[in-house]
Amino acid sequence: MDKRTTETVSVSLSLLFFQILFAILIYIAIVRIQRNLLTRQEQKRQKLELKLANANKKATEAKNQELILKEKQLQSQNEQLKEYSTYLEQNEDELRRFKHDYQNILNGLKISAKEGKVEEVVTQLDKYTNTQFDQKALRKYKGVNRVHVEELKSIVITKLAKLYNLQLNYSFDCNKDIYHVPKSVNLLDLIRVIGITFDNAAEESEALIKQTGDRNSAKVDAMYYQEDGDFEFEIRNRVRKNRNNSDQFSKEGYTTKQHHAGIGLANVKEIAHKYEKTMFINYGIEDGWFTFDLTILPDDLNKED
Amino acid sequence: MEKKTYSVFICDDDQEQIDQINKILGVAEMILSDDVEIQFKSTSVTSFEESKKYLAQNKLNGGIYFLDVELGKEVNKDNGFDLAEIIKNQDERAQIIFVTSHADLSLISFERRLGPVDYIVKTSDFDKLKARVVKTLEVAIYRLQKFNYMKKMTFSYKIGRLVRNINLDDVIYITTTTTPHKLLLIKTSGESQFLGSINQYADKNPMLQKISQSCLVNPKNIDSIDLDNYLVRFNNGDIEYFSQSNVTKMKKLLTDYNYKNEELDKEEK
Repeated sequence: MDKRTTETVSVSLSLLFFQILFAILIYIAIVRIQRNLLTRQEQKRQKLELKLANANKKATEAKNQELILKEKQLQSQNEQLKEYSTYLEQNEDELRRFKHDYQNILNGLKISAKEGKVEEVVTQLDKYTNTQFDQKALRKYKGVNRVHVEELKSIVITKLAKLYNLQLNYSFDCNKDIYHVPKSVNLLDLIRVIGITFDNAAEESEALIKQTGDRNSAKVDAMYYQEDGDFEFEIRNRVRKNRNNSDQFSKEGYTTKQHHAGIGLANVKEIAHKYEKTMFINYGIEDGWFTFDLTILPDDLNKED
Repeated sequence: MEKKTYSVFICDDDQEQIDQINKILGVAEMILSDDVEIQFKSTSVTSFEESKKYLAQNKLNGGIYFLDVELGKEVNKDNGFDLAEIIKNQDERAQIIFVTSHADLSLISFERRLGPVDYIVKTSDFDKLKARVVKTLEVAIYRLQKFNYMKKMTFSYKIGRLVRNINLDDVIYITTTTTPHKLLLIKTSGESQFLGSINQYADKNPMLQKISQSCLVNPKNIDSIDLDNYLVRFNNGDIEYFSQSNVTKMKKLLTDYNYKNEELDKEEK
């Protein structure tokens, strides 16, 4: 009986022992697993954090790049405006010099005239006129002074400077003071359109000169205008005679790859497409001129619709 | 011999310049007369105010005007441009020739509103001036002769306050767009967008044919017709639908203008 009791006790005890041992082992195992899981989670989190940090870095880089671009843009705008102000100063200097010269020349002419040397007076005047009054540089940015929207002013100064440097005949005018343009159109898009059309005109002019061998065969005219709060831009240029009009400008034809002017026009149309309701485009060739014009309807007109 | 007299009006604050132009007019009469004897009857004034006074009392019809651009004492006021505007308003056929000291005179804004003008640059070289003046007179006379014919053959449309005129022959077709009231004009050498309705332009231009609610065409610029699929192809390659109710009209156009009758395929975009 005793023996049995001891046996039972020892068996139970050993069972208990094993149970405890098992519990301890399981406990250890669970702790281990959990620790592993934690580290894995940790790793994942860390990885995510790293990715996030990278993304942030990229975003900052992009932002920086954008800032750099903007700065560059501002810089070039600044340079153009500086150029323009130098030009204005130069003009004033020239005017002062002319005022100064004027008296002397007049005196000289008076003497010649008194002595009856009419011929000499005329040649002298002619000479002076040719050297002083026909200086294209003095009228380089004629018309720009009435544009008061910085972006519009800046693009036209840049493009007129380009035409000037290419030694092309050109004119620009703006007969109305322009302080604002209709808000329906993003100014940057408008500037892109103006830029492209100026570039096209310059390119065609150069091709024309190459064909005719005569600098004076080419001419570019451009203008800004405003009436009742709209905005109007027109540019025209002389074109080569053998140009296949219908090919170049038909509905599908304008994308013809070998013609850059065509590609430019396609870009313009793509931009204009964003403003179907307010932007009106008109272009074509007539009497040896390619004319492009754009009208943006005034803001209040659209509200009425 | 047939004789034709043209009225010439000169406004310049420099009397010498007036005398020179008058002298050249005499020479030009001889140069430009061929089958028809050309005569110029000229009047000259030396200021903006005088011009206004004269023009108010003597309305010319189809006159030729030589106007000094730099007339006014102030910039942008009472100059040749302002005078030209007054003239254009009272003489529809006016042929304006600006006289300027600047070779880079900008005419684009003016021409945009009031039609084509010519210009001569002041020079002390008489032969050069003569050649230029005679040339501009020749163009002016040509334009005056063509004026009535051109007016009948013109397609006009408006953008804002601006009226644009193009030769009717250059119109291929006019179509509606996705934007209400906005029309698209396809020309032989370009395209234009403006506001309006197909019916309005169909009424104003009897030469153009309405082939559907959304398309007005110039029958001269159609190449071929597909009567089975209700399609027309224009000479620039574009293809448009005509409505079934217009089949009879299209058949008539087909015989009148001798189009090709062929199967066409309009690619949907």
